[in-house]
Amino acid sequence: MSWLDVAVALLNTLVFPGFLFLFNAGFFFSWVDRKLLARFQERVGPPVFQPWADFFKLLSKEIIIARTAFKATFILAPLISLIAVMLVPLMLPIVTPTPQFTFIGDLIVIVYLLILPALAAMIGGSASGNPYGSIGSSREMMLLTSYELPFIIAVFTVALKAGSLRIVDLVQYQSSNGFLFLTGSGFIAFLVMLLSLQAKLSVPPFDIPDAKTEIIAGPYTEYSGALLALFKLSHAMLLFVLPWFLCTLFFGGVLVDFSSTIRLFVTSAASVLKLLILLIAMSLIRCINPRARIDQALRFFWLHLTIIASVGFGLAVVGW
Amino acid sequence: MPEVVLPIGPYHPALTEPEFFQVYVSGEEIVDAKVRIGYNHRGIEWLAQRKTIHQVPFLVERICGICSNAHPMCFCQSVEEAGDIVVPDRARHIRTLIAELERIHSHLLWAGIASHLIGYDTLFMYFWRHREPICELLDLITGNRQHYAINCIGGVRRDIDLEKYGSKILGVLKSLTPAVLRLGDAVVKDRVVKARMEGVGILSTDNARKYCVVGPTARGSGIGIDVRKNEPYAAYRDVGVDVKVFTECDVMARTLVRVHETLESAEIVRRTMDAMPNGPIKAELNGFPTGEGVGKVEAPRGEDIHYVRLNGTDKPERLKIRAPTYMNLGSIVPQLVGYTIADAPLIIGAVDPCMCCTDRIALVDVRKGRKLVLSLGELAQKTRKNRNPIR
Repeated sequence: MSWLDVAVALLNTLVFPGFLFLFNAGFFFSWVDRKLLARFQERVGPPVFQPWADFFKLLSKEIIIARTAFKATFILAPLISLIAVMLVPLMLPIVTPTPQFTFIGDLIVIVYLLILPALAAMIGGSASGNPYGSIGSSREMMLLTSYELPFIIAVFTVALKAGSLRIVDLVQYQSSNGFLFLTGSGFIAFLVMLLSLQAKLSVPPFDIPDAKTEIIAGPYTEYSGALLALFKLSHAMLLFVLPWFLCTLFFGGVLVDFSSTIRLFVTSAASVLKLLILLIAMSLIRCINPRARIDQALRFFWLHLTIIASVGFGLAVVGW
Repeated sequence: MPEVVLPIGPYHPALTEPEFFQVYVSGEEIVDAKVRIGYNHRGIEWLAQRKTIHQVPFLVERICGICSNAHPMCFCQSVEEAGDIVVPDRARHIRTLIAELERIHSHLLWAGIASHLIGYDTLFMYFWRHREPICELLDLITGNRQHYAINCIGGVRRDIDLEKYGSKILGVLKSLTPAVLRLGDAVVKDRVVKARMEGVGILSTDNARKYCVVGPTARGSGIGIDVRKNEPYAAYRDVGVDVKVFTECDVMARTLVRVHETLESAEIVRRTMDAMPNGPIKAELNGFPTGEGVGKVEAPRGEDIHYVRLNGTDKPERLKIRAPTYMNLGSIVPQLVGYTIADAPLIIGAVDPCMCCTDRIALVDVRKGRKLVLSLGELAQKTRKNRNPIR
């Protein structure tokens, strides 16, 4: 590995499509989400810069670590969450069909990385030594074990359909055979994933781990200042990364073509449109649903969604 | 799983006011609960005994920002009973009108908060959106969105010009009724909302009777008590009230009671406007009355009682206020046990607790850092020992 490779890798991780890009795209998407929600609810909604302002304000606040907290894990948890989300886009194609880091099985790595934010919240919540935090963590754990199964079945449905565990192959399969969303099994897998993502993002109807009217902020109850800001940042990034991941799996990916100006314009507009449509779908689900109870959510994921996801997998095996 | 004490309060995002529910949980399940009140004591009864009876209505109005018509109306009724003051017909009708508009805004406010408690913020925003015109209407006819300051002893302070505002009131009510029906449908028909509300927070009719609950909480548990019907005051005898009782005893029943009452209140406002007689709005008063009086009003949360003892001077000798939430609060404990933490805010919210109404007797000893919640007898003893204990 030459120095140039290292420099490119660093650039990829820290600037594009890593930290800096995600930082801004995530906050922009979280603004779109908030604004959409506000408009659905007949409110005015925040101005564009609000997510950035919130973040920088939180950075300037004092970090309070409770006496009951286990310090090292308490501080590490938001970092784990942030780094995990930051690494996902390195494996998703954006400028060229071949991303910087591509290998057989990168789909599995992404699935793992996407578990980490929830895991970090769990770790942070239980390390905080707060009763609300520990209840939030146990809820997060129960929810994680329930939504992860249909989610993974859906991912494998896609992999089976495209015949590969490499994301590049998925994108290429779709560019030659049409969107996976348009196939029977792909459509079912998409629906399953869309609902699981609500739980992954912990927004209604599955905002159970940090239900503010029940357990304050759940795992995040004791977090303040920069540590809370990091959690918020990783959540905002997820809001961009998850639609992107979904788009890559079902809608032919987010691919920006630099070969000519007109192609650049068309492809980037199409990509942004795809992402925004997914975001609107997610906001809409969030808007029209109250919070489910944990037992109701478990039944929903374990029973209904797992069965639906399995049916989708069965269809993929048959070849639909 | 070991038992954990989960504090809900004194300060908690689910509760808009300081109140304290010590909830004992095993995992997610609630095994026991304790209610502590007294975090919101302001010494209103004490203050009332140092103000003239014409000032007290405006003082008791400040007990609560939501039932800010029920309390002064109740106090005025108690004084009127003590002094045998006959309130003119038009004043009685105006009181009814304001009381029912207040009930509409209070129930819509509650419905919004209940939606928020189950995490349904969209519905919360919609409910409050439809509450806004009612507040504006009250602003228009009384001069204030809350704290209408319309009641005075012997009648009301302001006349309502129905020729000027009648069409406006009817217009607001006309758009309100379909909106409430639509939003009520959103509650009743939504599967997730149903799953959160049906069969949750059961308060059996027996238990409801034992805990002496009042208002919508009682009417959701199959007890058809309503002061407006049982002991009509103001103009309720003339305009009539349709009291609807639900026997499901759960949170859903209490919600339906309130949805139905909101619609019924709109009807009562219409009937009151039709029946509005002409004449004076205030009785002539000679001097200050003597004797005891009890005022009873069906506040949005249930039966509100004011007891007053007058001795012929300008100040009441004693004022005792018993707000509806005081009766309902205890019943939360049997409702909570057996359900989960996720249900707790909704169950607590479903009785529509109003702590600023409830908290009457409490004493905080700041120097010793000790908190005392005193009974009336203890407080009396303390008063005898020390001339000025509360300051």
